[in-house]
Amino acid sequence: MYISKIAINNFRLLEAVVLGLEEQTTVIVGRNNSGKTSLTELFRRLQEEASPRFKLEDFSLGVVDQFWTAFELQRNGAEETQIRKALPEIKIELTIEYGNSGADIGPLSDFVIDLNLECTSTKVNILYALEEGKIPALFDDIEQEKPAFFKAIKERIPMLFKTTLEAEDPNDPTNRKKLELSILRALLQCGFISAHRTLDATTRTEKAILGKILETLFTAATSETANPDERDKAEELTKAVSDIQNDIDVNFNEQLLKLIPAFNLFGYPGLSDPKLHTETNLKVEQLLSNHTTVGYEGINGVNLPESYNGLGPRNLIFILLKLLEFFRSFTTSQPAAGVHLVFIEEPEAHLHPQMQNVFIRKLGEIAKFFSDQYNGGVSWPAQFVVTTHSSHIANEASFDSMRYFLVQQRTESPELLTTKIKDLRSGLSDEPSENRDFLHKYMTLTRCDLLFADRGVLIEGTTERLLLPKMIEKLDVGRPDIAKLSCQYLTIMEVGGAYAHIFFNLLDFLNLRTLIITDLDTVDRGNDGKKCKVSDGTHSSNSCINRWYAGNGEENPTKDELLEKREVDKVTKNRRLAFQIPHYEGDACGRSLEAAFILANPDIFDLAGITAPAREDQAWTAANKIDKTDFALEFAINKTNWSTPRYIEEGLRWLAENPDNSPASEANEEQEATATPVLAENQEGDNA
Amino acid sequence: MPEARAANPAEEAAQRALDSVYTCIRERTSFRLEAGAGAGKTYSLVKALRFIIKEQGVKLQRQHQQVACITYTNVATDEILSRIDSHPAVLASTIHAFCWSLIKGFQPFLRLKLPEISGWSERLEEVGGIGQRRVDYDLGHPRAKPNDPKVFLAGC
Repeated sequence: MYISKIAINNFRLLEAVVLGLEEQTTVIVGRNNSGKTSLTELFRRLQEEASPRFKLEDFSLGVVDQFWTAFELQRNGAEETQIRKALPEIKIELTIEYGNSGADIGPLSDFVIDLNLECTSTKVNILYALEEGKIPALFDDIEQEKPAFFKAIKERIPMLFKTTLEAEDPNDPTNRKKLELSILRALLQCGFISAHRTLDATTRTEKAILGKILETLFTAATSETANPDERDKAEELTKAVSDIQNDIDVNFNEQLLKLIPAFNLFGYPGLSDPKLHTETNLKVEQLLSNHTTVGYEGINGVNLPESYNGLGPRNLIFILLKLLEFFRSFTTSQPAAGVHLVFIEEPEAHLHPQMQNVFIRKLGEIAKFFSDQYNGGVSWPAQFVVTTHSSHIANEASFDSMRYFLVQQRTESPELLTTKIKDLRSGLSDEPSENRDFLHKYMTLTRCDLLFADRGVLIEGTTERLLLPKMIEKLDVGRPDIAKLSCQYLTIMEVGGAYAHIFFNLLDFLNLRTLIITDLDTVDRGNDGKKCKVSDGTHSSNSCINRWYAGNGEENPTKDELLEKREVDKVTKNRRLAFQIPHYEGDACGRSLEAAFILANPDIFDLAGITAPAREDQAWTAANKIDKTDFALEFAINKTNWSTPRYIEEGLRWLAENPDNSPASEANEEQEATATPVLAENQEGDNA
Repeated sequence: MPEARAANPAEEAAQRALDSVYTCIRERTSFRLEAGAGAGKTYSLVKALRFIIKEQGVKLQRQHQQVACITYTNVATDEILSRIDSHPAVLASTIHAFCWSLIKGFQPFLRLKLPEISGWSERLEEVGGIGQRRVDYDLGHPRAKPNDPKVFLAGC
């Protein structure tokens, strides 16, 4: 049995999201402030509070105004059903899949309300809504002005709203059954490892965090449902402590008594000796949490305290012990919950990259190890939800298990943000499997951080990679008033024209604004498709370019057609294509970045004063001869006084503009008109 | 009283029967216990229940499972429950109550099937159809009243 889907409405940024869960581990990625913690927070409330209450601030900003709408309806004498419909409610809908084997569906007995043999799922709704019959109480004698109205509403919500539970037939939404909220615990247990673990306090006064966990493990071992082995160990511990207790009673307290001054010293006449008696009590729990430290074995009997170990290992040990604690609390809970959701926030803290990889790979094995080792192989129905900011973890997890949280503006009111969850399992399901493999392998191999970036640039190779930072710098210096590209979180991926098209769907899906810099790669179809200068070429052999326009219904565009493309023809959805165009109006065009770079800087390369064809010729020959890395390094570091080839500059300009969070975009409004530089000798060159 | 009184043949037989009941339970095989009136059938039943509770009570509860103990009368149900301290791992009830507890949650299906029971289609017609009424089960005659949100199946 496992939760296959969580749908959340109207909770903070999670205004209307659906999160598909994997049977074992789901990895949630996304930038900061995209609603990841809200998700955890919501389940924390469900777990920790017997009757969770939410505040006005917990409602998504976008729906808060509906309180006012409902109020106006009431003022105008609308039907109660209508008013209730207008009132916002926080809703969590869990879809639970269960096998037909029947072995583990005990906890579901109250929740399955359909009689359809084919149906092996059920829906559980948790609603935070106005209690029945409380509409008058909500609005009576309320202020008529908006700010005062909301102040009053804020106070009334926790009193009049209530969390309720119901089961729903997945095939018949009208078939519902109200249930006691308390039975949710029989179905769902949650565990949390929050991002804030206070591991980094190194002072001596710090609470021994690991010691604290030992206490919980002990408590679990003493419970009635613990397995006999564990209980024996716990009993031995208790016995050891009670032996000490006896000792204390005999020796310690006897000596202690001698410290107490004799009362007859005060010489109270008639004061009978009250016979004081000392008693010192020891409890295993207190010993563990207050007086036990976990140390590390040193040499010569000097052990190192917990906080002296590196933060990374401490973090890992902490997570492992915490998982064991969850496992124990599951195996000893009575009755056992059907599903155990374990939220792990940012496990990567303090871990170096390889350790992060190992962690996410081993997570599933840990669950299995626990149940084999400590539970006689009875499986632990744990579902892990891991939120991360680490590309190492994201890349190690499979695409299918990844969910991408994205914050977008609401279409109707752009000042309000709302989270969208992109499911890489369903979202890329149309992609052929070899492409999915390619993307996954590429991202793992190159440690790419596409999933956390604000902007992306796909490039051809080394030259672009080395020169791009300088180009961005030049662009930003020239335009102090515009959003700087260097201040945005940019990810640069060396993909190459042959593979870039595989990324199209992923980029569209992630809604990531991306510039794809590629080469024109002209070939002469009249001459067996041999590569040639741009002026001699008929078509392009670059599959990225050809796929791009094939996607727009243009098969095999000719070179001339390509060179005539305007800015708008190079933008599709949130991506823009950039390939070589003449840097100067009417001048020759480079075939590669190197050639374009040479043509864009005629002064540096001694090209001034000769004809355009001659310039092209020289650039072509030079570009074919040079060592690309040396070339790029020289201009990236030593000689930095050059102009960026126009095709790249235009592309970067496009990339820098436009706000973030734009809703799925046809977002290509007016572009800043780029003035084409004119080469001084242009006229002359053409005429000659 | 003599310390070790030899068990009489009846007691020996009873112990043998009880042992074989335990064996069956442990081996999860079905069995039938036949005996005359007053021979101690209910006594053996309670013994068997206690045996299950002792061996598996905690586990059963953890797995949301119960032992169904079906009796002929409410009196017998109460009798058994009082002797096992109403342990939550045992569901003791009459056959009717047991069956009803299984099906009462499936209201839409009950509403669909109710008119097929003889007499009910006319009865429902008189009150304007089943609508969204809840099907319930109670003592007395089967009944459906015009403004009652419930209709009642007969108890016996």
